[in-house]
Amino acid sequence: MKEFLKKIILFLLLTPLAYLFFIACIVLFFPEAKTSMTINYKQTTGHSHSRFQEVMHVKNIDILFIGPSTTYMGFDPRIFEKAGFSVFNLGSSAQTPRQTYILLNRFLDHLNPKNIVYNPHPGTFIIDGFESTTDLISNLSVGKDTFKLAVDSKNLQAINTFLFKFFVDFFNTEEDYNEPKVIGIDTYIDRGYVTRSGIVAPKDVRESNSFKRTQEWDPLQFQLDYFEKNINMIKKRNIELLFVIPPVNSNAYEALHFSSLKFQNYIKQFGSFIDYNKHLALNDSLHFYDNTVHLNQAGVYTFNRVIIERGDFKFD
Amino acid sequence: MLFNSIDFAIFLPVVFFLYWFVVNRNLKLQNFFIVIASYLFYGWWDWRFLFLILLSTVTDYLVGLGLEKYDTNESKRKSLLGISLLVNLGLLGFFKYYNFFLDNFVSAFSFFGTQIQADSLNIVLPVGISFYTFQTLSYTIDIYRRNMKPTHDFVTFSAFVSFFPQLVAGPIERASNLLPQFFEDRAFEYGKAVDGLRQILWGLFMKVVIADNCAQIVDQIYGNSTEETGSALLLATLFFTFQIYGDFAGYSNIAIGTARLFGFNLMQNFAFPYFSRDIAEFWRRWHISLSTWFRDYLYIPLGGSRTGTGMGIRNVFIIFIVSGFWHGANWTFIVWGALNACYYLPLFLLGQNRNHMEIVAKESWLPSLDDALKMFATFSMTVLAWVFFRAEHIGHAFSILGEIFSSSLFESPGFGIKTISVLIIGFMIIEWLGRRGEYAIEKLGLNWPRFIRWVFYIAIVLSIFLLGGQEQEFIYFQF
Repeated sequence: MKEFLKKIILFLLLTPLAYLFFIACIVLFFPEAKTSMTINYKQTTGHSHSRFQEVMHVKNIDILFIGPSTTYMGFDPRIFEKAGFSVFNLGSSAQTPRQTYILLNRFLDHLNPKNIVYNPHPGTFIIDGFESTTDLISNLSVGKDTFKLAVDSKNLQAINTFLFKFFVDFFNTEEDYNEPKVIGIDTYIDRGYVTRSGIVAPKDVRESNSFKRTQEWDPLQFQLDYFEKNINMIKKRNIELLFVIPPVNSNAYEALHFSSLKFQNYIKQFGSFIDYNKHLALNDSLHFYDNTVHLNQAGVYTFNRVIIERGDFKFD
Repeated sequence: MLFNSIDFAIFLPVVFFLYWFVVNRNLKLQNFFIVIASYLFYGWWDWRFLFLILLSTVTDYLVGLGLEKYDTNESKRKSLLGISLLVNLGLLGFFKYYNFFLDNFVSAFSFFGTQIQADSLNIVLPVGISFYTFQTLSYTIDIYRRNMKPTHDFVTFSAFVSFFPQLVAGPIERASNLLPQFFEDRAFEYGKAVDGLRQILWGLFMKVVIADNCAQIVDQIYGNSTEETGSALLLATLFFTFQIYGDFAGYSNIAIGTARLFGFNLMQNFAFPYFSRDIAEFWRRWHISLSTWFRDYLYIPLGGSRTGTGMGIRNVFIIFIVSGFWHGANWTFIVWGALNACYYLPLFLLGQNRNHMEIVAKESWLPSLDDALKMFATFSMTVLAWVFFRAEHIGHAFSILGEIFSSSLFESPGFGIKTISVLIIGFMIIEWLGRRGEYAIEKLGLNWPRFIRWVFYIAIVLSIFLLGGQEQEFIYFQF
């Protein structure tokens, strides 16, 4: 038994070392493997790198927007700034409450917003948030929070991505990296917004509608816990909070649980809630990118103008 | 608890430590500890279903004692066996097949113009129920046949029924092999434990690297089959062929390896089935514990092959169809079983079903051309049959087959297969090199220098961490 335990311990010591060494080698010598089946480094869309870089240079704003891609593609800072509000859009790809918690912890005190517009997409409560996990791990600096995020995900790809990012920061291999303003059909606009050009191909549509469909909105308990932590964090700082559901196309409104009473009643108990699908009749073919939940620029303009003109926000 | 989870990675060393260092002085205490650990292992998934294991355990324990008590009273012995069959198959029938029979009953009546109102029940299938019910049944049947004596030790019997390494997906052990091991003093054996770890390592590789990576492609293509080309569907079926092998043989390797760590020997469940030269050999190498269970407790009692050609054919179909149906309450599994019976039948009728009893190319590096062609033909037939196993329903299977045998077979599949193909080829090379052992890396590298051997094992661990697919449940949990 002694011999067995000795060898096991030796093996268990050597294996993690070999593992770390191997990932360090990937970072240094095979960086293209960052988007392999092993590692999911900066594979998501949404310009998170640019957003998280820019946010460090912004302070004391009127409105902070948080939520998934319907946030960073739904609230155009240029329209709000024209109306006299200073804003920042901290939306990110498939951001679930767990990742919102990390972003608020990192940036809330720094941004010091007077108001927060929280876009609680019902689909983000029923997924584990792998896409957003690797998005944040890839684009935020390494910290205890991203380490915990990787470990809690219980996903090897997330853990590998974290280690990859760790060595990227350690060896400073991305010192000169600047994310292009235009990636594919997406263009980054200052203050966290992303606008899309062209037509979304059918396959992309299928992928973009990847939120799990179930009979009834059936949220994961840990996502509810994080959501409530987020609310507490905001309320503790006496920041005005408004929950907003941006317009989505009519199919998605039913299929993706936006219309679910269970979902809406759950959100309403935490504060003011506006479902703009009930206040604004947009046209599926004119105001959205093909069959997605994302507003096109015409849709965003109409939606944002209505928000400002209706005076739903009490921003001083 | 999944073998490929962090929970199990914590559970196993803790149980191992307590087993060998805390409760090791007393055999009864060790067995009691196995029961506690096994119930914890199972209850981790859903504690409410522990009572089913307990019910099965108590029933068969008492039936065993009753069979001993009424040794000379045949009618009482038959009744007792009937109780065991009723309870075990009743549990299985209710939880696994109730809705299937109800739906088909309703459909049959509506076919004849009579509408019956019957609502399906929302029944959760308890994990592993098909495995532990069969295992306990083997105990009562063997006692009934006077092949073994019953045990009077309830705790030890409970440990035999619930032994966590093989509780939820086998191998389906015979009482005559496993139960006596619980009565033997266990001393830690270095060689056995190291061998167990090696087998666990290979099982994890099969599951996490091969099966889970194949699963992602298979699920995507089969889930969207109406929009896919024949080439994509054929590739997906090919990947499913490796997925199900990696998944189930991987599970079996982890189970057998884990049992070895605790001093137990479980039966081999897979013996390199994809190197079979005919379908009869395939079935001697695939899910051996189930095939032999059906052979001993169904096929032979029906008369086997010694009852004339007509009855022999009937028996072949019965065993294959029942075996298919055991996998799930769906017509797809029945057709899969029947298709395999059709594959097997010519060999059976020509008396060629025992041609290949030894592993292929036992004394050489490569197979002969004749063997290679036979392996290819057998493999192709197996791939085709897996379509029924994987499809959602019969119509789905036929639409997939229709697309595979259409001109779209020659269109681009629309997805890359380079990485997964390299992994599968590498895996099959190692399987080929290790085919003379009980599992691929059992003997592979044993005479290499220690440094090289350790590099090889560490490389397998790294491949699990770096090449593993998204965590998936074991397919056979649903059976």
